[in-house]
Amino acid sequence: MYVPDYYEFCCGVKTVAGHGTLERIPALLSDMGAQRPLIITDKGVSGAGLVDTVLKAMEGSLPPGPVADDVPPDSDLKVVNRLASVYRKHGCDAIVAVGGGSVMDTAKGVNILVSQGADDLMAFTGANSLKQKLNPLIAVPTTAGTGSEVTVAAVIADHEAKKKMLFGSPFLLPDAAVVDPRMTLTLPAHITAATAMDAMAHAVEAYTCLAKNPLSDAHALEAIELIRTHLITVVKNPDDRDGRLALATAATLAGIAFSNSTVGMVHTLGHSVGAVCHVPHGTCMAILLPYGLEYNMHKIEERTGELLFALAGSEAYATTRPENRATATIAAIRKLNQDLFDATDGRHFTAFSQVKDPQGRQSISGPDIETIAATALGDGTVFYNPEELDFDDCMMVLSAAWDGTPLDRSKIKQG
Amino acid sequence: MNQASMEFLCRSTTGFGKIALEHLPSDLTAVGAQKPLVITNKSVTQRKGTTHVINAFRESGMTLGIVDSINGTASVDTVGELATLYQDKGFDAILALGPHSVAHVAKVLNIAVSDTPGNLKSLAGNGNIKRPLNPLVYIPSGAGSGFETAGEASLDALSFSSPFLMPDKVVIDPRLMAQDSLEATAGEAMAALACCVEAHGTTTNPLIRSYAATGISLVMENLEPCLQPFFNPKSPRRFFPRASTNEKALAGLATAAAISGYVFSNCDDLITVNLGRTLAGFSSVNSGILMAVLLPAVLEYSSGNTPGTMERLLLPLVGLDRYCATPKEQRFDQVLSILRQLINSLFQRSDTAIPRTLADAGIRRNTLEQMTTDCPKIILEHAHSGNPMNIGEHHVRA
Repeated sequence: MYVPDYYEFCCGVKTVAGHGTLERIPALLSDMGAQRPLIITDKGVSGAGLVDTVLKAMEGSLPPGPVADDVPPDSDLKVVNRLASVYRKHGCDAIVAVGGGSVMDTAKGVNILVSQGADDLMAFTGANSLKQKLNPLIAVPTTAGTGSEVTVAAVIADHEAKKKMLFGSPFLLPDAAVVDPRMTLTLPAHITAATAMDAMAHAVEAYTCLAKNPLSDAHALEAIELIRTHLITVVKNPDDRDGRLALATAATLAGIAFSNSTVGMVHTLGHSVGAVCHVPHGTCMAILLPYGLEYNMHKIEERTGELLFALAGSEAYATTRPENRATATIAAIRKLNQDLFDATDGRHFTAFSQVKDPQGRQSISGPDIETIAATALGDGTVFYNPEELDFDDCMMVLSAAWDGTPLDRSKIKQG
Repeated sequence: MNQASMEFLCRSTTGFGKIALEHLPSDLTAVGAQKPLVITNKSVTQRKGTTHVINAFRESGMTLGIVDSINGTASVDTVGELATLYQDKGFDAILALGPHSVAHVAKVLNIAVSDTPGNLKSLAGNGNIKRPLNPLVYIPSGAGSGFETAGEASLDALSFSSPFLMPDKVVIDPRLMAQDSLEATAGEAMAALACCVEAHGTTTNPLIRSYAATGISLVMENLEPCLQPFFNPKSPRRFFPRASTNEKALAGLATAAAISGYVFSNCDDLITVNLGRTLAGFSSVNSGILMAVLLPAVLEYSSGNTPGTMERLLLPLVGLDRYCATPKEQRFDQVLSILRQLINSLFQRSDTAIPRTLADAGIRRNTLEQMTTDCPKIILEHAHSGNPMNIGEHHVRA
């Protein structure tokens, strides 16, 4: 067991996971002394009928509160301010956030304003600016997923000022996370795959990067095993409710893991690919994950090898020689990506050259790679990566990820 | 994972390691607290535990209050006096520094001083405390019972149960670790082990399993170094006062104990814990050790219902390599064998001071027969004699 000299671990979110758990929302709100929630969501979620499912589950126990379904794909300060006004106008006393990462971040931003009686979100940016508990917030994730239902962070974009505001505080943790497989039942196959690989990347990086600790490790391993066991089955059988529940729970576990141990270069590079070329985050994670492990291998070979158990089972672990386990882990992730490519008829991408936008145009061109590499070095996650990264290192990794070819490890500078 | 609804809540932040205490001033500032009251006992003060806490706040600008007179005879009257002190002097947080008795006094005090409607009596029972209390930090020093971090507290005839009783933060700093008696040290470790093993083996909730697996591994890694001073008294003495391997190991056990409190608060019914506590009333043996004595029989009894989870127990007990090398069908037998060997070894090395069976613990068979308990008698019979249960010839656990 790896025990750092000092670590902290916290997840004060009441996690309620299972079939029929949406029906617990009124009781959860009542326990918190709330009875008039504002439901925050987005058009995609409401269009898929998921908000109706939540409202039906709450029917009879609570009078219906207002529903705000215009959260944009990228969280927006103007929307946060407007929803805070909606909350106040309707006399709300809680928020139920139904959606993915952007909805969760927006809900957390709204909760800051309404709980603090404030109008200026900027006053609360940074770490630990909040000093008191916020109003009740219940998170209902609709992807499996970002894990935002259990993280202490939120990112809100101020598009006018062209900047992103980062908030970090244990007070941002939702009071409860309700993980009900009905919320991910209609996720298309390729999105199921990409969002699960996002969760996989959270768990793998939490286990292998510099700020790992025993509790985050345990959560990460449970998450990885659940994803490995259920992902392909769910992609092929989307009505598999038990499998959907397993993947959603895995995303929550992975969120708990990385919220407590942060992440590394897979996210360093992935954030930049997303920012520069607008590639969905889960797609970036899936493609970059094997490269992150390859790049860092000389520093984290043993812990990478330990992941073979969670990724391939006890037989594979026992029958693989210790010196080969790390490369077998990376091969297992590449195989998972390839199996997902096959199961989604090529809509789950395994290399950046394959990625196309909704209009069918290639998302990342050659010249983009330099811009991505330059942007990546400004990402805070780079400090938690086991091996240092400079511009040339980023270019090497991104170029290989573009082609879909393994890294030439002899070219990795060892710090 | 099965389909039943799974819930989990751990309100506590766990801080472990070097200079863990020094994080406290910023932790308290982050929740708007500026004037904490330290509750502890004379033994901790004599061991310089209180000095370490004071030093951690020296540069903070905060005012610290200290009461070090808490002992095992503390009562509701004690809480009344402390509440008056807390309110009159404007304290806004409690730091509970020490063992079990200090933790319970601190929790009940926190109920009394927080803005919680109702008096202590009306808040007793299960779930009557419905909102967050004032900030409470628990700092173990010396062997605890294993449940200081759980959402429960009891004082005199009053018992309280609520997730809001879990400390906001648990600080485990090796400098505060003190070697207690063999029985106290083994009892803390065995309580943590029994709680985490039974929880892990009887649940499919991956959140409980994550915590429980960590607790089990921490006990298995740290128990031997912690027991060394008792079984190998000629360990080299250190000249320079820095954290020894033993202090780090004791901190590891304290972490396992903290985790067992979190796990216990999230499990409906842990037979080893409930029964161990009950049986402690009939024996002079520490309840944690009794929990470990009961554990194999409880696992055997429960195994019919959750065979898939029982084999998995081997992983945190022995690590990845040995787990994966063991054929699946052999794993549960190995689990039972390891647990029995552990308690048998303690019996032998302690010159029989630590019992292997309930009979060794001085509990008579007719006492068990007369006990009013929901626990299946077959568990008590096998824990009394030490005979392994014939799995399949008993009722499965509901």
